Amino acid sequence: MMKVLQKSGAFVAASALVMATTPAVVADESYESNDTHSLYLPASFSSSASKFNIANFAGTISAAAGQETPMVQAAGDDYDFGDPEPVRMNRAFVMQLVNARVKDSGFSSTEA
Amino acid sequence: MDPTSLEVEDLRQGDICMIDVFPLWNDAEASRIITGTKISGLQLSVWENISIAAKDATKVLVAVCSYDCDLENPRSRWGVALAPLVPLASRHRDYADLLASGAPIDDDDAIAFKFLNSYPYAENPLFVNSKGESTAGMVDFSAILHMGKAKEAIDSLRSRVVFRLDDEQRTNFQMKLAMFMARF
Repeated sequence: MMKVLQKSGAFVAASALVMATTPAVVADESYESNDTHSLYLPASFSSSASKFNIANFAGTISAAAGQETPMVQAAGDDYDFGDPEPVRMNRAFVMQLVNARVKDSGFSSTEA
Repeated sequence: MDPTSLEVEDLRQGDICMIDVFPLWNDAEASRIITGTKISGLQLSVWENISIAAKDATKVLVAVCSYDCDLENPRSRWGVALAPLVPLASRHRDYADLLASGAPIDDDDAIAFKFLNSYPYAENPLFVNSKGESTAGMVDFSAILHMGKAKEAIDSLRSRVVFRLDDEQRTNFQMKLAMFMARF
């Protein structure tokens, strides 16, 4: 039986993903534990049809306490796209940066 | 080839592609997946404020940031650099300036760009916001992540291109990204 510890709401997303991609998963209600933050999955849990690599899932998921929600990006009206002040750079240097890439890579455009 | 994408022979820098999800690597909130004593994975959140493909509302839009020579030569490259296309609301206070910020300001011996950490894409019926409205977008260079592995990612992304810059726009994209990365 695999044991997955849940310390915050962050795990909810992961468990939802697993459930969504592996519909055969059911909670093993026979397992008894005093750990109310644990989620127990049956030994028959399979990842064969899942995008989620369950091999990496056979352990503990830990998260910092109190971080229940993911970082929220500002909505479109308020999004900070950076500084309106123009940033200047020497033209020759910029062109050197852009054009030097093929030369430095040592590849021709036809090389696989 | 996805029927909702452009038919392109190769992937180019600045191409807008539709993918399932773009991760948000906020390290303070990324749960560690621990196997034994080893951290074997991370649980990442996803970008919520990202443009959506009009032709497939289950897909989000990203811009290819890797340079063309890396896309042509994936050998020894780990992945393809991608950045999210963030919807640009017409109500944004800097809307006009942001849309114009893709073109350099000529200044004798210098090249200058406003809003250096992002590149604009004009409003396009192919790009929609979370409300399903057609939207302009800004590619946020500060959020670049890699999708790997390079060859497999290139093959996959090539079939998911929904919009391509013209040559002048692509040159501007290259210069702006080069300046964003090379400041000191």
